[in-house]
Amino acid sequence: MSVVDVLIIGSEGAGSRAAIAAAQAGATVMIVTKGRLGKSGATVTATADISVDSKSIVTELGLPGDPKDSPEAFREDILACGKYINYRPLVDKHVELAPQRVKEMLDWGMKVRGVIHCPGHRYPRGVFTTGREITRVLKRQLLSFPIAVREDIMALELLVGEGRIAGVLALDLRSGELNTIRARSVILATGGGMMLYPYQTAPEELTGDGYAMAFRAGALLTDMEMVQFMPYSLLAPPALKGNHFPFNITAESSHSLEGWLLNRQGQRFMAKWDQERMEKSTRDLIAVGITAEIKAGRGTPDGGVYLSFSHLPRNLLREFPRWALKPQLKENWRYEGLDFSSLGEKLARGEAIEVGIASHFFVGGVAIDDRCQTSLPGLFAAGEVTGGFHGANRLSGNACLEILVEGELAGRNAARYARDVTPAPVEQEQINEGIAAALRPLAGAKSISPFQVQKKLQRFTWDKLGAIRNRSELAGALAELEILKQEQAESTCGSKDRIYNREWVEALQNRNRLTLLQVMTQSALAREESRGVHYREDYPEERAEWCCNLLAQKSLDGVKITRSDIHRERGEGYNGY
Amino acid sequence: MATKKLAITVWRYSPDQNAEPYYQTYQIPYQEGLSVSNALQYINEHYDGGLAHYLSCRRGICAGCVVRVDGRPVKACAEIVTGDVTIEPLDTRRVLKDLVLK
Repeated sequence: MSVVDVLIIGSEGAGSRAAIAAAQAGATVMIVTKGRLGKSGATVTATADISVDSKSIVTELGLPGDPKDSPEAFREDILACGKYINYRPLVDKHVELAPQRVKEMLDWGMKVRGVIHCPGHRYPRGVFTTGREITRVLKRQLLSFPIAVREDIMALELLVGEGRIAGVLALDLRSGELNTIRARSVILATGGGMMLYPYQTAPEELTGDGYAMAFRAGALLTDMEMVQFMPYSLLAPPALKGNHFPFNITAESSHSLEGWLLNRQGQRFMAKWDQERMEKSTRDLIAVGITAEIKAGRGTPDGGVYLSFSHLPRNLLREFPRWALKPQLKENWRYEGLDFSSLGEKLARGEAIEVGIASHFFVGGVAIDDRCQTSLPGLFAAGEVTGGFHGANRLSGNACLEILVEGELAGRNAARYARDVTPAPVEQEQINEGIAAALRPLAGAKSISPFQVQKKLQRFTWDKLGAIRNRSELAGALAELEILKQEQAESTCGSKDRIYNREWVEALQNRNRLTLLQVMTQSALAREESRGVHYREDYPEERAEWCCNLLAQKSLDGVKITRSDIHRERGEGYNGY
Repeated sequence: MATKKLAITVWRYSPDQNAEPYYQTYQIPYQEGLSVSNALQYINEHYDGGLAHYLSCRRGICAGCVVRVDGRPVKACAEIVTGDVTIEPLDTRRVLKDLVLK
């Protein structure tokens, strides 16, 4: 069996960038993706700003920035937003390499629409383009190298031999076959786990597979309690569920309209959380504010709160799409690819709309060092699947930066690692176990369906791991998870067709969801404070003694959570690796 | 009051299961603002989990979900269903399974 030097799981932003770097370093590279190249993942949907310190925007990129900024100021803002639990060597790498990574994207033909100034940044640092443009440019580069891109391949398990990465067990959705792909090194570029929640701004395939596979293979995860929510997201109708267009209307840019968030009693509840900025507060505070109203029984019929513009003249709303959010918003209220005209009509009539929160970004992730290597030798990770760079909260523009910087680092370092190692042996027992687990949902009489399990898991995540957490709910959640685990283990597919079977894929994703939910629940329970996007109503304040990372690792009885303070002050790697 | 129903007719073919393509009609409850993708998901959840269709961004951006609705190519996630429709793959000569192309 042939052995590839660098096997990359995930084809979009981070995966593409990693593949380019690994191929440039002379490695043989294969990408596997559960979806399709350029038609999956979060990158293509990004708005998208890429953060670079404003001084370098002027001096290195030749774009209009503010020379008063500095890399040091950018670094400070990242740490302030991340509430000082960021992994500093990784922050330094991002700040240092940002100009270079964006410069090469410009050289490769990326079109830029300007530089924007987003909240949390002291200077305008957002090199503004679109996700489609980033995808187009990376795809063109990618295809100029002899890189094998295998679509419709879902990685199921990371194979480990002699304590290091040996390859991947994967399902080929086109044939229904389970295959072993051997590799000297593997890069996870699988994105986040937003689909664990019932409302999400992110695409369908982001079910947290990378975290779950890494965890099961024994790699360390960090700060998995940190999930960023997008306020002002729609709860209905079905086609618009999770869409955050109202956020773009009211909060995103300097063109935004002054919207009021109201509970069912008509009170502007954000006054309780941020008297000064109110509805323009940070996303984490608005998400908590909205959730608090819903939890207190002051929500809307659909389970959100009201967003009202009725204090504004009606023509101001009617005329809004003529000048705002260009070029995505058309005069007939089409935004991106969707029709928002009934929402626009409602606003023009002076009625409030119902909005809630949706999962938007996984801030924590697989722990990596500043070469993007995980704690499992030969396993690298890049992009949203990693943890550490953002700390406890993410700045605008830093997700698109992360895919470029970590993608390049992971690709380069994985190629270097692969040069020096002999392939690790695969263990037949692990493969057999993986195959048996994968095939189980296709066998047996009809019981609960994978889709029903998926809905139950999403409900669970919403109730226990939403924007407001507390000890009693999280402690009860652990028992509930055991029941859900049983249901997942017994769920079977109605369709036994092996080819492109969505129900089967859902069952395999549910297994990953359950792995991940155990880690997230334990991490959220362990962190007895509120920091960044993690809000505990029983510990509503940030506590100095919790300025640390929570590392999760597989143990005999499930999940072992340990505190790690080492790299906060000294800037060393996780547990010294 | 009886809820309004929609008849969704889908072009079906799985190389492992069928000798020839065929059409199958599913009754689903009408809901305002239901996309073609939502209708296909309803069929997955209530009738046949194996019905193959592609879905990713749900925002009309990635264009992975393009199918024909009553003969017209559309993005399934962005196309709203208001009446009975027939859903077919973009190109029946290139089908992997059902609505998914190779």
